[in-house]
Amino acid sequence: MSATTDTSSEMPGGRFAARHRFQTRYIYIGLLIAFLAFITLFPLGMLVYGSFHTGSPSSPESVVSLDGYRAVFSAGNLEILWNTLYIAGVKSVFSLLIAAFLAWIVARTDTPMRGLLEVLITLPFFIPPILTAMAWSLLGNAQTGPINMLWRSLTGSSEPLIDVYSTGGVIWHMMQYAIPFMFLFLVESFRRMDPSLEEASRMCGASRMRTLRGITLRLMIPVMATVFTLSFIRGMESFESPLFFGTPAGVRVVATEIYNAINQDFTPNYQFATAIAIVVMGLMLLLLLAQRAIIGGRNYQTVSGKGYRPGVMALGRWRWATFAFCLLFFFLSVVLPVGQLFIGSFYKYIGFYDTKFLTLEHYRNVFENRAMWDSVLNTMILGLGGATLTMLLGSMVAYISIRTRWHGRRLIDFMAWLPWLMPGIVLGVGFLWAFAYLPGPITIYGTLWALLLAYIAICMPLGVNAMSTAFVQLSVDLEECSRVHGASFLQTMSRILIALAWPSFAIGWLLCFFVVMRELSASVLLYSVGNEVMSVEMLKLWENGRAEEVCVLSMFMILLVVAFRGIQIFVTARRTKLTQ
Amino acid sequence: MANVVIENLSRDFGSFRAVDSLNLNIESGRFVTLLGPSGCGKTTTLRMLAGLVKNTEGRITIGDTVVSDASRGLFVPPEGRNLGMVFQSYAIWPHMTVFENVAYPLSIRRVPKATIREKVAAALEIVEMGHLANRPAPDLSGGQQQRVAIARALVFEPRVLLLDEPLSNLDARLRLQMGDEFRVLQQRLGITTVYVTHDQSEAMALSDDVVLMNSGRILQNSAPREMYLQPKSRDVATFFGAPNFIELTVQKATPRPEGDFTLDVAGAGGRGHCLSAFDPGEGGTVTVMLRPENFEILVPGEETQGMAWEGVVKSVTFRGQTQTVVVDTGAMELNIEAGPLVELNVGDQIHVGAALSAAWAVRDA
Repeated sequence: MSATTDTSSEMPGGRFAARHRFQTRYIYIGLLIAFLAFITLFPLGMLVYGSFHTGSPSSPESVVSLDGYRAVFSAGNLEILWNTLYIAGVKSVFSLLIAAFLAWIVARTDTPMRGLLEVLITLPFFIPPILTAMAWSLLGNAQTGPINMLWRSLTGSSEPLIDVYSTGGVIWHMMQYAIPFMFLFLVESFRRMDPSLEEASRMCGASRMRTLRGITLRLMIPVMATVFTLSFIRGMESFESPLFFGTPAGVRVVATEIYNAINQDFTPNYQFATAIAIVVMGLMLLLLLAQRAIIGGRNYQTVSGKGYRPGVMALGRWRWATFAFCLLFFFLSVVLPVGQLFIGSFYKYIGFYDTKFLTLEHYRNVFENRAMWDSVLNTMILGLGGATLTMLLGSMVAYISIRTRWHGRRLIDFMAWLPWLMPGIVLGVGFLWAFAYLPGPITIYGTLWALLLAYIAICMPLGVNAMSTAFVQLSVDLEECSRVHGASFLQTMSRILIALAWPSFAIGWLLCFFVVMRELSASVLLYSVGNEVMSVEMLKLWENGRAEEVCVLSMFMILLVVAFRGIQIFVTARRTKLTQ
Repeated sequence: MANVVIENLSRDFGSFRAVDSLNLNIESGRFVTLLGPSGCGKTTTLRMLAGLVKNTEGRITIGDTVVSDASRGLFVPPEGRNLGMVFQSYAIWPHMTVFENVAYPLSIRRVPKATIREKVAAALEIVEMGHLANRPAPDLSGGQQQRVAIARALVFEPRVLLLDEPLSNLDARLRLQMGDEFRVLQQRLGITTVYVTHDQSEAMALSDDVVLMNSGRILQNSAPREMYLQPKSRDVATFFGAPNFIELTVQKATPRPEGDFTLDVAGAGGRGHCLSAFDPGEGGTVTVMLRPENFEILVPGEETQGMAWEGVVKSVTFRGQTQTVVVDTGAMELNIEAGPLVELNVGDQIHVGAALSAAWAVRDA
């Protein structure tokens, strides 16, 4: 009884407090919008401005012109667009075939050790592409690569088996990332499919194979179309693969062309770089719209509530063949490149693998190199700070767009997703201009802040996605119940929402950290001397021909990847237990 | 149409025995329901019939073919058994239209196109879905999906029709309507049907025979009326509602021409007669089951063939269709369902009785 009286006597104060909070909340939202606009709309605006002007905003000779676009659509440069689309398309097709097969093996057959295979198949996704790119440059070199040396000594042929510096090399390197990426999606939907859809087909008299063709794979078409589009877009964005394997062979694509226009040309050609950036973003947008239009209404709800696991196909003796296929992928995408880096780090010169050249000299060099330690420290600061800030902002954006009916939520959501359509190198150009011409005494360009803001923008879609999924799964009742029982908005956020969503927060955080650690394309434009990050430092070392020391640094990076991936798998397992 | 014979059927999931040496004989054309709480093995039994789960022991014969015999290592896969099945989720393929869904079993069997059109149209007509043949499957409501699932299961004239809780995803009103329609359809086609449900009233309303299961075993297999009024054991009696159980001493057992016995019983503040399937012997005790709705409130001096008690009304709960009355007889409490017209107040002295056919002795096991 007394409790009721207490509450009612405090009602006026409570109401006042609520109104007060309401107003401060709008101030926070205003700040959030301003910040998001600063890291997304502002750089995008600068890109658009740059593409239509011959010079920078501060330059007096700058005039409006269409020269940039004219250059993009000139006969010689159309080839760049065509190459970009061709490479992205070819790698997506092959990756989809292999990823679907791998996902089917892991989710739907009695292949031995499927749990382990799943971890192994997804592992390459988490290794920074710059590492595998360097490793494959060593492995697949037509003259000195160990694969070709082995081939020549086995067959006596004078021709190399593979030449990684080619369109094929670019595609192969991209596939090592596209396959695990697609696999992650496909294996889930293979697993979550309502098993009775297939059982019904069996009951109607269809054999296993007929059911696989007629029901299972056809039900997967929308998911496959989605991952294909995503993979295609990632292929258009990819920077490391064409930088390492395309540029030396004269294969020009958009990402490397932007890089070269700004960093390698004698006078940076900003107008061409921004114009081609705008064009490629337009193409990506068209692709997304086309995908929506084609599979829009065909998003089959095939998930059932019943706890049955989809049937597993007994392969008999063939299950060892499927097992070997999965292992082969792991061998090619992880063991070979990591092994090359590992071995390379212990020999005086890469390519001369004689025990008398074994040395720890490179390790000593690296550990005594101040610049390298600075880059490691910078990457750690940016990784920790970037991941934390992104996830906090991402949680706010996700909450606003999922839980409120406020009109501005669409704008917030749109801005948070915008970087998803901006390749890292494009984002880098946008930020370069945005920071360079920032009015007033604020200096961001040339400091770590430039990289931090860029990383937040790059990771934002990831963070928002992780938290949205978590919030959607949490019933509103949980929050309302907390409010009814006397908790304030902030108490509810911290004690109910964050307490329940923290595993998603943790996983999102780790993914952001991975992204920061591997990021090269924006970093290479935004770093300044003294503010290098690991990936940039490695690229510089590589370009100076110090491959052995790069191998040492790679080993360090791979240790980090394995440690973080371990934590991530652990947290995910915990979360699965929590939701079951 | 075919009969189904299940002999010593078992299924282990690891160390858990889901179905334990089940024996069941289903005559051709019967509607048999497997009833029981969740986890009792009913769905596993149905899925073993279908061939979706492999039995670890025992034999299944459908018609004159053995479809599974664990001891001989014989196992016919589901597609070889020629059975129709309706799933709980209906399993309507979302990438096909209604027509394509129903035509699927026929096109698998390489039936000529013209015949397919004819048969699908006929099957859809049976479930009154003919006008929606060209609808994409995801646009259907729950009830419509169920009709399509039934049409698909019937279109190829299977030997037996299997249904796995097909009504459980529908709302209460539609559940009653679809259940009735389905029973009419089954009787018209005369197809052997095995139906799984956990809903006792659904099982009663639809089936020729109800097979009540628990912990992988059959508790009782009989017609609904017998199952309800003359349960073999206390467990069966408790599965349907909350009956009164009274411990009584047997004074005399008289065989009846029906094959059972009339028992003269006494104790717990009353005496009278009840029916029993067995003779517990003079001086033995029996548990007599009395369902709350089978009591009658007697006028003073009125006699009954069965049993009668004097008591005081302890509580009355009015529920609309019925009212629940708790009567204290001194030795025990009786739960009674009375009609809504009877006016009773706490503290009233009343005289309640039950007819001979309402008092049934159950085994405790």
